Amino acid sequence: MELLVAVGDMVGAERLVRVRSAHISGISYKTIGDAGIEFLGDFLADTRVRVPTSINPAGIDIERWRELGISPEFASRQRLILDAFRSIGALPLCTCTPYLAGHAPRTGEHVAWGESSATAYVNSVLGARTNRESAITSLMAALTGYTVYSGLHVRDNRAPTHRVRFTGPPLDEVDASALGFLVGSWVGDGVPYFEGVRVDLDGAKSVCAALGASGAVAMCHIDALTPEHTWARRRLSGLRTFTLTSRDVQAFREERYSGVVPDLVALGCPHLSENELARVVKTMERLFGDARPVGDIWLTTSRAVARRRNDLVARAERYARVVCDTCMVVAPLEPMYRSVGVNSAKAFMYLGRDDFFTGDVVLDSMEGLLRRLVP
Amino acid sequence: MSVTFLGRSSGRNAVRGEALVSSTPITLLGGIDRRTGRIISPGSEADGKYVSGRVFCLPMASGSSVGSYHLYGAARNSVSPAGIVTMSPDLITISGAVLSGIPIVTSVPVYLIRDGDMLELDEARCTVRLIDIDAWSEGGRVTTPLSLGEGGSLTGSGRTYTAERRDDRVILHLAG
Repeated sequence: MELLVAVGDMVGAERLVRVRSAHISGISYKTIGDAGIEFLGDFLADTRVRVPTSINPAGIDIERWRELGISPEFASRQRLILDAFRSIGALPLCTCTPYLAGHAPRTGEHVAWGESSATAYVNSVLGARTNRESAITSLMAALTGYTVYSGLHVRDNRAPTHRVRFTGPPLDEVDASALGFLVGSWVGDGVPYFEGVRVDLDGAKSVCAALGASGAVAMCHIDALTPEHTWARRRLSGLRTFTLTSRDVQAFREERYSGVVPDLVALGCPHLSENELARVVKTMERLFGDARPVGDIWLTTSRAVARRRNDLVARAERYARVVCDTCMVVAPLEPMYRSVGVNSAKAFMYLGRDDFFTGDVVLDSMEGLLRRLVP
Repeated sequence: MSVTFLGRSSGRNAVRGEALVSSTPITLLGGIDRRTGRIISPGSEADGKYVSGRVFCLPMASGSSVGSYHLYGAARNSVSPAGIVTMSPDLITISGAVLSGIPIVTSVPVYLIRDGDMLELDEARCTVRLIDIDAWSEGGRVTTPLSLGEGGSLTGSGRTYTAERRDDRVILHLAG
């Protein structure tokens, strides 16, 4: 509570606000390290969460980490972290998309969600209210049931700060993430309003993830999709406007183009929805038929989605591994693979950093990546 | 001559050090090497430099909400910055700094601080004092801090700072 009050002072919050749920980031041993384990060991002793709380992906698939090639040493360090969170009563959902796994805030609710992609999705698509909670503040909120009343909890601060006019066809997942990435790097912690962006919920998930990765964006408005878009639309005049076309998105992808055939194609940043999983499965069946792909494929999703769609999982496993509880960014890929293909600008950014992965990283569409593995 | 920025803070510590400035947001997750304190952030002028012992000045943290732990990890390895100054009060940097015991003042016009400037950061007073400053170049126009009269203002990145004169000092307050 003291840390929350200190943080509240610094952001100029007049008070704390009660939250209905929390989502805690900073779960993977790869990202928080031994310092994180020691901190959590001390901090979580004899405490309980006060509100329904989910947690972010860990560094292992809890059921099949051996099969993925993850070392027992890493897995045992990871288990310490997972046990600590289990002991405080967090829901056993290790996913960056808890809102697809049965833990979704309702419109207008105040919540405290870490995980930059989920934060942006909760505000922009679900219409609930959260700031970009950090791994630490989301944990404090889970344990106390409160967070600082500031930023996006206050309605006026949810008004758009920039206008983005896009002209082009509907966006696939990689183009949606490229668009989000470009805008995120321009607007800092602003609230962009997108016009002309035709995306479904999966596309919005990609836009949100990229905005939160390249920038500090916790919310955007998408025409006809964001619950508050009509309210926001009346607040556009005089805003700085960016005009973008599909060419800008193409240029972004071309700058990152590489013809490498990756050892691993990893799809599911953020974790795959049911619809996305279905699309990948159909694409694999069409491309590979009875053949075996020439590289490994990971389809990362929440365990809830995998259980609900075990029919799709069974079909997928002919060609790929359906990996739960973790993802390509926070799992220790380094010893197993030398090159990775992703269809997410967010995953591309993190895997491009030496702290995460030192091999080659390829950005392409889901189908473009899978084609590379056709024998 | 010195200029004092009045920002926000909640701690009780003070520190003096040389500024390390990034004019662009930094993704702390993977953006600070926890073992060495080296900044890994292509596109930032701070890329490749070491934060250890410096007063790290940045607009805000971008990217991952897990960045707080990277700051904490750097502190545990004794390679963290001596102090942090930010413009936007983002929860990732603030909570990471508070947890790590790194003095931090936010809501400061970081774009007015140059790499290598000597800074005094005082959490109890919520101030960042810029020592030995003669002139600023703001938007190509050189402004002498002393030329700002009482009640004069500076605007940058959507925030306005009003000036207060005290003898030969200028104190900039965040308006609102």
